[in-house]
Amino acid sequence: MEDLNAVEILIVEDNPQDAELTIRALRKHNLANKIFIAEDGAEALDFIFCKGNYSDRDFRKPPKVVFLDLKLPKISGLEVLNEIKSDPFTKSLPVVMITSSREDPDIKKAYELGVNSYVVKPVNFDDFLNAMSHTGLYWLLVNEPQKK
Amino acid sequence: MDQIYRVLLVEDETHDAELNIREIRKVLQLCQFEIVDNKNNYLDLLHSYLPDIIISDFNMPSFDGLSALKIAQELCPLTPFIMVTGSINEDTAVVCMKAGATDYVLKDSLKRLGPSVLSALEQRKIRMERIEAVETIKLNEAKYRYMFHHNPQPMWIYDVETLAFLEVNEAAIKHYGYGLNEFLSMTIKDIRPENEIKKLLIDIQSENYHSNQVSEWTHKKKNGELISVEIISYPIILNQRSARHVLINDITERKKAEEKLIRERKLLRTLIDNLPVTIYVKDAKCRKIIANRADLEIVGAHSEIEIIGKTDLEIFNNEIGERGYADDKMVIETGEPVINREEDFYDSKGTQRWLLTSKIPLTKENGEIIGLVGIGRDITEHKQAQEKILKLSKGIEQSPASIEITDTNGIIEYINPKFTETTGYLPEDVIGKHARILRSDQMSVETYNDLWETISSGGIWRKELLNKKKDGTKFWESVTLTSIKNEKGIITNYIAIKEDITERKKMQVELIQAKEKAEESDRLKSAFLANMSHEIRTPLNSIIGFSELLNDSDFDEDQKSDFIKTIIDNGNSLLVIISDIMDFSILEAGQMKIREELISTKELISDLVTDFSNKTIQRGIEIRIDQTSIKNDDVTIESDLFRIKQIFNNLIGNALKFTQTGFIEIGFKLKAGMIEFHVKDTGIGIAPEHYQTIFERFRQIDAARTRKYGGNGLGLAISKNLVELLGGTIRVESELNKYSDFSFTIPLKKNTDQ
Repeated sequence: MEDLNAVEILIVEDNPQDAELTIRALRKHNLANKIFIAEDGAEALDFIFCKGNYSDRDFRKPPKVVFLDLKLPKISGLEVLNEIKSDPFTKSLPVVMITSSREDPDIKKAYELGVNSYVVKPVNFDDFLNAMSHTGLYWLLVNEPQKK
Repeated sequence: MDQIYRVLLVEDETHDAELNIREIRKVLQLCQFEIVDNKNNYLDLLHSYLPDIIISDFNMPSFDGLSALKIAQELCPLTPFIMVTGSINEDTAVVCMKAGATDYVLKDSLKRLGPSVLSALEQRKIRMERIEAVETIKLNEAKYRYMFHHNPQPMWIYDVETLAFLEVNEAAIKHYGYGLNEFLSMTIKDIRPENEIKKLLIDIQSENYHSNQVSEWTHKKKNGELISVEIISYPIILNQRSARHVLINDITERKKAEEKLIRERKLLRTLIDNLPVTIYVKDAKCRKIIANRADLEIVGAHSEIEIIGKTDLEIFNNEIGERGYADDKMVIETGEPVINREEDFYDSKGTQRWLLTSKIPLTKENGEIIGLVGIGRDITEHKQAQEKILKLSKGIEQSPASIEITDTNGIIEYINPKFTETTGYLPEDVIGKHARILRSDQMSVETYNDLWETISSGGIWRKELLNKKKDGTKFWESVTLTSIKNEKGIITNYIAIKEDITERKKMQVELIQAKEKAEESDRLKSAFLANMSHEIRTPLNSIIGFSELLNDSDFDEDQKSDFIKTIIDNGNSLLVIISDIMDFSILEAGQMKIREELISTKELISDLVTDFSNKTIQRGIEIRIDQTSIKNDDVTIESDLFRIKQIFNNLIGNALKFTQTGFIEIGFKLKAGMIEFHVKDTGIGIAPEHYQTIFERFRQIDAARTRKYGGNGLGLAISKNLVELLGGTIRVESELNKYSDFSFTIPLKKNTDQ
């Protein structure tokens, strides 16, 4: 079983094709950080807060960044964002929102809830870079060598 | 002299008697005679005959003159007695005169008898008169003494010189308390109070004092009590002294009564003058004889004298005077009082004033009307207040707002006509009832609590209330409630001013609904657009993303082949989405065309099962025709096959999406001249509250859930539109997590009317 505590990038995306395209975009630019994909909002929260199927995970080792699609089954992306940003332990966890449109009214709501940046699908590297540079996350991901 | 003198002759010789009679008759015309010659007869006649004069012979054989004289002296001493004798003897004469005879006459000179008798009778008359006078004096003196002493009026006699009491009667003794001897040792100064003695002494010196006039004095009783007396005195001579007879009349009580009367009159007058009502008295000729101060003020007079003796006609000299005079005359002529007549007039300043007047006839004991008493109350202020109140109450009465006045307990005391017009309640329906009669039970308890708290603490409460009319209809009122306070600031009533705002409210609600609907529509459109954008982008993302990967030399041919398949799938998805949007747009625009053809329902159903069997097998569920439909005879309908299939595709597509295990069952049956198709699945089901909304345009039950199951939220809306276009209806039955059963009807043949 893979080491979930080593995950540095959490992608929350229900569309596998979109997830694949995102991963490929990251890999293409040699960001080989360990990636985990959660398929809905509930799974994402379980992963982050080490509950349910992920209760064995170490809470002290959160991912370095979360890529969060807002259109999710079960629990919506905005709710997931709200949970993350209203918990003092996860509040500082950088969240990058993935949206299918720049016109999405949810972008405004997401910023109100404290999202760090956003990228528009299909995710290409330029967008990614842009989003990362807003947060300084890129250098965090690039410079910090893998723990394992 | 017409007296008949009775003469008694004592004579034994008839001849002598005859001679005597002859001589007497010469002097006395009217006389009668009796003759006796013995003692017994003499005594009898003295008693029975009562002679005025006795003439006796001196010597008789059986009787003698001296004896007769002696008897006469005893029995009737005043009757004159003349002795007639034959002997001329001086001794005899002396004896006779000594014995008391009036005279003696010698038989020889009998001519003297006549004059002697006359003289004797004269003397007798004088004596008799003297005796009578003495008797009368004696009798009178006793009578006056009695009258003096027993007179109920106190009286006394005092000596003018010494002022000492000479006589005091019993009434005075009793009244003053002094004993008789005490009185007789006192002077009239002793019964005067000290301070009056000097005045008394001066008065005594004056001439007036003796003028027999009634005068008033103050006297002092023995017990020291001072009394007011009215005295009258007369001068008299008593015991040769100049004295005054004084009659005393104690007028203390009378004086007290008089003073009381005066005091009471004064009091009454003060009272009458200071009463705030006009009071006057008029005589039988309607002339004022008494007028109090208030009346003077009304009339405009400065003193009573100005109007006393005048009638209203003379006092006012205008139509007011005429009216007053006519009233007065009527009261006096008919004896009927005028009660509470309102009279208006203009005072000296020209201000209109009102007087409420009553005129009551004055009658004597025998019923004769001698005048009238008038009492008038100035009701100008009252009248003005009344007019003000009238104005205010008319304002309330005619107010275009509903007005309701309650007591402090909320019991209705007044409602205006507008209230009746608005609520249908007549005054008799609600007066005496609690204002809550209007409550519709649709306002919260807190509302009413707040209402009472506000107004009972003197505040103004404004709100809109949903109230109930008499017929039960509910209506909205804009209510302003406040308290009415008296001069002391104590709440006596509450007043509600209300306006029926049902129409306004209805418009408001309609407006809000329209606005909300527009907003909802806008929101739904935005959501739809966002969703459509998302739905279109999602396959496009994949198409673009994987197309780019095809350019990448990193991937081998197998991988690229997978990418191409993904691109094609997403292209097809995009096509469906775009078709749906197109269909929907056409339906919305009402441009959808129907192409009718004969359709075998049985064939249609089995074709559908065949079409979807591949997909169902992939999902691991079954698609089948329900048992009844298998047994049913085929029904041919005339409708648009393409559109019916499109409806089925949507319904079965949905069923596939939401069913994880179990089956999908389709079928048909005849129902009320229509054919009813149905698609039932064993999927997640739909909550009853969504039975209607799922068919609405742009509506998706749960955006997040839709994401999982795909779909653009247009399928059911399109299906509903299509069913209706074909002349049928669509509905759903479901149980959450158990099944959903969509059914729709299609007419056997298109109604030509449509």
